[in-house]
Amino acid sequence: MATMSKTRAADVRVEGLSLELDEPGVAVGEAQRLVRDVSFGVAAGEMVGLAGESGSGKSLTASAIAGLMPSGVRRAGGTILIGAEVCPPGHRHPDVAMIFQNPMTSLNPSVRIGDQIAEAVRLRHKGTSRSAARKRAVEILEQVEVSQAASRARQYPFEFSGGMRQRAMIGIAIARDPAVLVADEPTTALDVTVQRGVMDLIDRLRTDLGLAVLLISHDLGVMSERCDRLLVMYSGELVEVGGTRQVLDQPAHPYVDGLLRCIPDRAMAAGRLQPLLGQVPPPNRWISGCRFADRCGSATPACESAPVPLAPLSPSAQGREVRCIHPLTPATAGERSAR
Amino acid sequence: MAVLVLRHVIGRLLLAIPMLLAVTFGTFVLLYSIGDPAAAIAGDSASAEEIERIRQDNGFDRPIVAQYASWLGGVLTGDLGDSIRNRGTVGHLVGQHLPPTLFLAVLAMGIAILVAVIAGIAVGLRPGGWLDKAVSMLSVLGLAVPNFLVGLALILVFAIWIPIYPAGGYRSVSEVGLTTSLQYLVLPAFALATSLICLQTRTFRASLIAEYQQDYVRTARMKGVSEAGVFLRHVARNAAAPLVTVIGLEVSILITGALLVEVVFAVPGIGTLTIDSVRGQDFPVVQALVALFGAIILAANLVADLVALWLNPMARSKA
Amino acid sequence: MTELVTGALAPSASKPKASARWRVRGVSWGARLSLVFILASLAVMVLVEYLPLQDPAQQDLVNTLAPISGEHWIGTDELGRDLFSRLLWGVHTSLLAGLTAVAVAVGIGLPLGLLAGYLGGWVDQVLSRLADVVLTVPALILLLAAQTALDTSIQGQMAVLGCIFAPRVLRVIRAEALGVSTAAFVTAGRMSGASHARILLRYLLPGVRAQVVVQISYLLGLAMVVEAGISFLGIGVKPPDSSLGTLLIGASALLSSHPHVVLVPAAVLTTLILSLNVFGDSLTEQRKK
Repeated sequence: MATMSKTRAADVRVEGLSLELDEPGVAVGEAQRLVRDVSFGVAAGEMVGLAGESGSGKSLTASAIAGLMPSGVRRAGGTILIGAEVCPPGHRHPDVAMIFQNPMTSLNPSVRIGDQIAEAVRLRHKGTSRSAARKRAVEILEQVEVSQAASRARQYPFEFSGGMRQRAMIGIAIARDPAVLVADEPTTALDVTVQRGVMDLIDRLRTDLGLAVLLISHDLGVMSERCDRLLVMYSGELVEVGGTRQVLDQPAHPYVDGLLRCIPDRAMAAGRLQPLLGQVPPPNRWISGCRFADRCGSATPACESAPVPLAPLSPSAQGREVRCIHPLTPATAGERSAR
Repeated sequence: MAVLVLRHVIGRLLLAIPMLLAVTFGTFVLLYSIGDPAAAIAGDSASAEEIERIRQDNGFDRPIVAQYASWLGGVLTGDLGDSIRNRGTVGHLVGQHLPPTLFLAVLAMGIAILVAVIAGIAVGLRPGGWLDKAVSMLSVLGLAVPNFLVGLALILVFAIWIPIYPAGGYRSVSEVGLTTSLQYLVLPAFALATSLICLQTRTFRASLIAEYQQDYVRTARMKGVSEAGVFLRHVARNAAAPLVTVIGLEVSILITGALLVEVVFAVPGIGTLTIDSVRGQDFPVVQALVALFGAIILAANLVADLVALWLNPMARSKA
Repeated sequence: MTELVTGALAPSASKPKASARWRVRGVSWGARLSLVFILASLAVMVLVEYLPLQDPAQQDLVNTLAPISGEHWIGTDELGRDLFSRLLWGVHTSLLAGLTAVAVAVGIGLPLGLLAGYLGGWVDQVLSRLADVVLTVPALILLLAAQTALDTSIQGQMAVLGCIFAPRVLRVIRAEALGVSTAAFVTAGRMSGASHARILLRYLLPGVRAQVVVQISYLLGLAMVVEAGISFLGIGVKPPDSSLGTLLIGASALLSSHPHVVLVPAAVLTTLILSLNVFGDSLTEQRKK
C-alpha cells in the first residue's frame, strides 16, 4: 500500500460495478443484482453528485467504494480504482474516507470527540504518539470550524449539536488524510439552517485538500449548487450522466425529467407541479429492459424487450450519456410539459 | 462532572436510606408485632404466665415504634442484640457465617461473568447460528431449573460418578489453604452461577447484537479499525452497560440462591444461618439478616448504577 | 416466529367469531408442548383424588427402595411408599400451592395496579413506593421472615407469598393500565359519560387481560420454585405429605444409590417450570408483534 508515498491528488474510477445479494437460499443471477454495470470517475478536486431515490443503489455504490458494503451484499463484477490501485472487494483503501447520513448515530456515544478523531489519526499514521494524535485532533477540529476546539475535543457526542457532530464526523474522515471523500447524504439528517454550513465546509476541504468528492444525495437542489457533474441512478442502474447544468436544464431521461418536475420551485417556473407516478420497483421485479418503462410516458414495447445501453446523447454533447431509446430533446420536452 | 456524579451518589443514598428503614421497620413489625417473640423464646411447652413474664422481661410489651427505635439505636452502635437459640450476639453469629458466603458469592459471580461474556461474544457475533440456538435453548432451561437441583445434579456427576470434588462441607482458607478451601466451593459456586450465567448471556448477547447494528461501528471500520479493535474499543464498552445493570440486579438472585445451595452442600454460611434461624424462630437473627440483605442489595444497585454511569457519559450528564 | 392468537391477546372487537378466538396459528412446538404439559399437570391436580392410585402414605418397610415394576411404576421410596402415587400427589400439592400464591397475588395486584395506573396522583405514588419497598428484598427472604413470625402451614405460607408477589403484578398492571388509559378509546369513553367504575371494568380490564395471563404463567413458575425450595428445606410442606419439594428431601443420601428416586420428581418439577416460562415467553413474544 502506497501510504506514505502517495501524491495528494488521486482520482477514483469505477468500472462496470455490479453488486448482488449474497444470502444463502437466494438464487444468484441477474434478478438479484442490486447495482448493475455502473461506471464513472471522479477526478481530484472535483465534486460529482450521485442522485437517486432510496433503493436506487446509490448508497450501496458509495459503500462499495469505501469498502464498507453491508453484510449480505457482494461484488459480482467490476473494478474500483483509487489512483492507479485496484481495490479488491471489501478492501478499505487508506486514501478513501466516508461520511454518513446520520451524525447522531455515526459517532461512538461513549468516546470523547477528540479521541475518536485521534484514533483515526493514529491508525492512518502508525507510530504517532497519543499526545501528538490528540494535538492533531484539535487542529482538525479547528479545520472543520468547530470553535473552542481544545475544549470541544474533550466533550462527548451528545454534547454536540447535529451540525457540529457532522463536522466532527468530517474531521474523522479527513484525519485519514484521504484523497477521495465519499459523502453519503451528509446533510439529509440536519436542520435546514446548518445544511449550508456543512456543505460549504465539504466544498472548502475539496479545494484546500484537492479531494475527489462523491456526493450521494436525493436532493437535486444541493447538487445543482455544488457538483461539477451529475450521475443519476434508477433501480440499480445509471440512467443519466452529464454536466450538472446540462442535466438539470435539459434532462434527457424521462425519469430525470419527472424528478425535476416534482421540485416545486422549478416546476412552478415551468408551469405546473407534476407528481412522478408509481414507485421504484423492488429488485426482484427488475427486468432486463428499461426499468423505468412502466412509469414512463413515452415508453414503447421496444423499451422493455431488450437491455438499453447507457449511450452518448449526441456526438457533440461531451460526457453526456443517457440510458433511453427515446431520450428527450428540447422539442419533445416542451411537448411533454404542454400536455 | 465530578460534582454532578457526587450529587447523584448523594441523591441515590438519600433514596436508599429511607428504603432500608422501610424494609427493616416492615420486617420488625412483622416479627415483633404480628409475630410473638415471647412465645418463640418460651417454646411450645411454656405456660401463658411464663410467656407473659418473658414478654415483660424483654420489653416486647412496649409500643412497636419504641422497640424499633431501640433496635435501630443498637444497630447504629453496632449492637444487633443477642440470639435466642445460640450463645453470643447476633453480630458475632453473622460475622462467623459471613466469610464462606462471601467467598462463594464472589466465586459464583466471577464464574458467571467469565462464562457469560465468553458465551455472549461467541453467539452475539454470529446471531442465528446453531451455536446461538443451542445457547439460547440452554439458557431457557438453565433459568427453569431451581439451583438446588443443579446442585444435586453436580453432586451426582462430580462427586459421586466422577469423584473429583467433595459433595459438601467447607474448610476455611486459614485452616487448609486457598486451593483446598476452593475445592469445597467449586460445585456450589457453579450451582449458584447457573441462573446468573443464563441471564447475563442473554443480556450480553442482545446488547452486543444491538451495538453491532449501530452506525458508529461503520465509522470505526471506515477509520481502519480492525475487527478486534471495533469490538474492544467501541462495541464492548457500550454493550457492557446493560450487563452491569443486570449484574447489579442479580445480587437478589445470589442471596436467594445461596440459601438453598448452602444447605445442599452443607456450607456453614449465611444461607445456612438463615434457614436455621427461621426454623428456630430466632427473631433477632432473622431481623438482622433481612436488614443485612436489604443493605447489600441497595448497595449493589447503587454500585451498578455508578458503573453504568461511568460507562455512559450521556446518562452521567443527566444524573 | 411463534404466534398464538387467543381471545386474551387480540382486541376482542376485531374478532367477531368466538370460534376464532382460540385459533392457534404457527405456534412453536415448544410453546405447544408446554401448554400440553401445563394442562396435563392441572388435570392431575384436579383428578388425583379419583385416580386408582395406591395410598401415598402407605409404608411398606419390606419393600423399601423397590425398583421399577408393574406394581410400582417408578419404584418405592426409602419407607416403601409408592413413588408414582407420591409424585402425582406431589404435583397436586405443589400446583395447588403455586395457584394459591398466584390467586392472592393477582387478587391484590390487579385491582390496585389498575387503580394506580388509572387514577395516578397520590394513589399511584403511595402504591408504587410501597411496591418498591417490598421488591427490595428477595421474595424468599421475606417469606422466611414471615414464616419466622407466623409459623403457618403451606397454604398460609403461599398466601403470604401471594402478598409478596402482589407488588410485581401491581407494577406490570399499573404500567399497562397507564398505557391503555391514555388511549383514544378510553378518552372517548370518558367523554361519552362512562363512570370510573365502568372505565375500569369495561375498558382497562380487557386491555390488561393479556398481561395478566403472562404474569400468571411466570408467577406460577416462580411460586412453585419457592414451594419446592422451602419444602426441600423442611419449612414448607411437612412430611409425610408429599410435594415436588418434599420428594427431594433426603436426596443427597439417595443420590448415589438410587438416583431415579430423586431424578424423576426433579425432572417433573423442572419441566413444569420450564413449560410455564416458555408459555409465558411465547405470549410475550406474541404481544410484541
